[in-house]
Amino acid sequence: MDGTKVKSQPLDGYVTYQEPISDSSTHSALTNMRSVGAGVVIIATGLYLIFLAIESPRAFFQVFLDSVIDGSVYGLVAIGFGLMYSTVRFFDISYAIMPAASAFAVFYFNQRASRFVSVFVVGGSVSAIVVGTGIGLIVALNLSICAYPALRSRLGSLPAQGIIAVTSLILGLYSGALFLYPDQLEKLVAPVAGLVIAASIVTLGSLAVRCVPASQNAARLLFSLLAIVGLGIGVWCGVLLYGAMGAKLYIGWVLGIALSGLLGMLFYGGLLRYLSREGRSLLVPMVGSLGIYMAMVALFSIIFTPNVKSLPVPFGSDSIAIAGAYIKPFSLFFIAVVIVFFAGFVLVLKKTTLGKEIRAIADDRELAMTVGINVSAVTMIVFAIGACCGAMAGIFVAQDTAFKPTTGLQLLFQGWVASVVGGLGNIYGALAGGLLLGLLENYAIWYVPSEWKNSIAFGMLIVFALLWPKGLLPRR
Amino acid sequence: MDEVTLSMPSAPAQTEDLLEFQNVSVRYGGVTALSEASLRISKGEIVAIMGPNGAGKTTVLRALLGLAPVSSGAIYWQGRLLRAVTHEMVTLGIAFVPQGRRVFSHLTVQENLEMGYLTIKDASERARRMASVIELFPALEERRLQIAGTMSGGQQQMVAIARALMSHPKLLVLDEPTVGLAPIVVQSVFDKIEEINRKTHTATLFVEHDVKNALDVAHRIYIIDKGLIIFDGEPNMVREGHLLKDVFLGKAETAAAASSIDHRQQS
Repeated sequence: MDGTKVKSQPLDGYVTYQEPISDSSTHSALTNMRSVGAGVVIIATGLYLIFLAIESPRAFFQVFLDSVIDGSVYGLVAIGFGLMYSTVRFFDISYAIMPAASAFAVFYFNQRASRFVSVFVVGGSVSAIVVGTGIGLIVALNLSICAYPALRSRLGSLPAQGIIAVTSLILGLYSGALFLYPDQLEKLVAPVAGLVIAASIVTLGSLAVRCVPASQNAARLLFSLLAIVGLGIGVWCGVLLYGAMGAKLYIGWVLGIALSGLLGMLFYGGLLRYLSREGRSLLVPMVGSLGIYMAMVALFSIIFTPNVKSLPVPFGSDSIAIAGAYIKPFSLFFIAVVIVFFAGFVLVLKKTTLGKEIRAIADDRELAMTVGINVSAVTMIVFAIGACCGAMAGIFVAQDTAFKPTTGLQLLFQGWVASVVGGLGNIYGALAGGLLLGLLENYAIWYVPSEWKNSIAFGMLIVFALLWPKGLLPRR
Repeated sequence: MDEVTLSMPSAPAQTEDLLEFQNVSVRYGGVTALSEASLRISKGEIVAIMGPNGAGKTTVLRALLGLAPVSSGAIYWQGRLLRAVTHEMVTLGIAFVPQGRRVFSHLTVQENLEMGYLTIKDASERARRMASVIELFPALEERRLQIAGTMSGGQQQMVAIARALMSHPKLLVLDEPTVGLAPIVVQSVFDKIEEINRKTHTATLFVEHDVKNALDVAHRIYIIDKGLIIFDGEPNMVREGHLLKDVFLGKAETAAAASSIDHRQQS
C-alpha cells in the first residue's frame, strides 16, 4: 500500500502545457481594449435602463415582463440548439421545422372532423393510414438504432426484434386511430395518459424509495403502497380526462411535442447520421438538414396551405395584473414550463447516466465511443430533446400570435444567436443569452418604432460577440 | 497489499489465446496501412508493438477497436470471431486508452472514472470497483472533484488508464501512453502498467515509441515497419541485436526480413 502511494507521488508536481502566445503585445492590447469596451457597454446600458426606469416605472416593468417572455422563448430554442450543436458539431437547420410541426399537430387536432384543410381531410381514413404507417415506421427505425443493441445483448436478437416490431405496430395503430377520430381525442388519450401518469409516479417514487435507507421488507411495503397510490392517481386522471371536453388543445400540445421529438430522432438517425460520418466536411450534414427543412416546409404548405393560421386561446384571454403590468395567463404558464423544464434538464445532465453520456459525447465523441457509449443512440435522444425544445417554443409562438410553415426559421436564428452570445455548450449560457436578446429587443425600441427591433437587437449582439467572443458564460 | 482487489480471472496458462489477428489488412482509400498482420496475445501477457512513425502500429489498435475498416483477414477474441463495434468492446472486456492522454476534459475526475463502468448498474459493485481503482491510483483520491482538463499531462494519462480499468477489462489497450510526457513521468507510467499487470493479471497491449522502457516492461514485442510485422519475440532478442536500430533508422529491409524468417522458423 505504502509503496504504491510513494510511486504515484512524483506525478503531482508536473506543470500543464501552456498555450503559446504568438504576439504578446498585440494580445494584451486587444484584451485591454475589450475590457474597456465591455465596461463602457455595461455602464452605458445600466445608465440607459436606470433612466428608463425613472422616467416611467410602470412601462419599464411592463417591458421587463415582455422581455422575460420573449427571452424564455429564445432561451428555450437556444438550449435545444446548443445541446444539438455541442454533440454533433454541425448547424442543424432542420431544427427550424419543429415549431411549425408541433403547431400543425395542435392545429389538426383542434379541427372539426371531415373538414377539408387543403388536400388533407381531418379525420379522413387516408390521412389516418398515411400518418399511422409513417409513425409506425419512424418508431421502428428509431428503436432499431436506439434500443436494439441494448435489447439484443439482454434478450437475444429475435425477442429484441419482436419487441421493436410489436411496439412500432401498436404505436402506429394508435396514432392512426388518433388521426382518424380527432373528435374523440380525449376519450382515446385518457386511458394512455392514466397509464403514463401511473407509471411515472411509480418510477419516480421507487427511485426516491431507493434513496431512503430502509430494510428490505419496509422498502417492499413502501413500494406496494406507492404502486397503489400511483395507480389510483393514474385512474383518477384518466377518468378526469375522459370526461373533459375542450381538453383537445392541451392534449394537442403534448402530442405535438411528442411527434416533433420523433421527427428529430428520425432526421438524425435516418439521414444526418450518415452525412456526418467521420472525415467528411460538416457542411454536408448542414446542407442535408437544410434540405430536410425545405422539404418539410413544402410538405406542410401543400397539406395545410402556406397561409397564416391561429389556434384557440388557452386559459382565457383576460390578462393578469402584476404591479400595474399585464401578462396573459398563458405566458405565465409558459414561463413556469420553461423554468421546470430547465431545472429538470440541468438535473438530468448532472445526475443521470444519460446526462453524463451526453456531456461525455460533447467533450470527445470518439473517446465516448471507446468507453462504451452508444453514441448514435444517445445523439438521437439528444435530437429528440432538442426537437422538443423547438416544439415547445413553437407552440408558444403559435398560441401567442399565429404561425405558418416557415415560423421556425426566425426562431432558429434567434436561438442560434442567443446560444452563441450566451456561450456555446453551456446550458446556463443559452438561457442567459436568450434573456439578454429578449431584453435588448424590447428596451432598444423604447424611443423608436418597433420595425427597428431586429436591426438594433442584432447590431447590439454583434457588439456583445466582439466584446465577449467566447460568450457571456463560456464552457467551464 | 497482499490481496488482489480487482477480481480478474487468474491466468496461469500462458498458452491460452485472448486475442488473435489472422492476416488482417487495413486499407484507407488506396493506401495500405496494415498488410496481412498476424499477432496474438495470451492471458496476462504484456505485449508491445513498436516501429517507426507511420508504420501502422496505431492501425492495429484501431482495427481491433472497430475504428479502422478491416478489409481482409479476421480478428478472434477468446476464440470467437470479433465483430468490431466500437461501443461494444468494453462489454467484451477490451478497454482502450487512446493516444494523447484523452480524458473528458470538461468532466471531473470522478465523472471520468464513472465513464469506465457505464455497463455496471449495481451500486455496490460500482463502489467496489471505484475503491479498487483508487487503491491502484491513490493520487486520484483527493482530485476526484477536479476538472480533468486542468490536470497535468501525467495525471491525465493516469486518469485515462484508471478509467479504462474501471470496466475490469481482460485486455487493456494503450496507444502511445507516454508520448509528450516528461521523462520521469514516462517512467512512472510504465511502472504503473507493470503494477497493474502484476496485481490484476490484465493482459496489456500497447504501442510505444520509447524503446528502452517498452523493452523493460513487455513480455513480448512485435515490430512493425511499413504495415508489415517483421519481428515477433521476446524483448532480449532485440536488445542485443541491431534490428530495432535498423528499423528506426530505415535500413531494416534486408536484415529485418531475414531475422523475421529466422524467428518464424524457430517457433
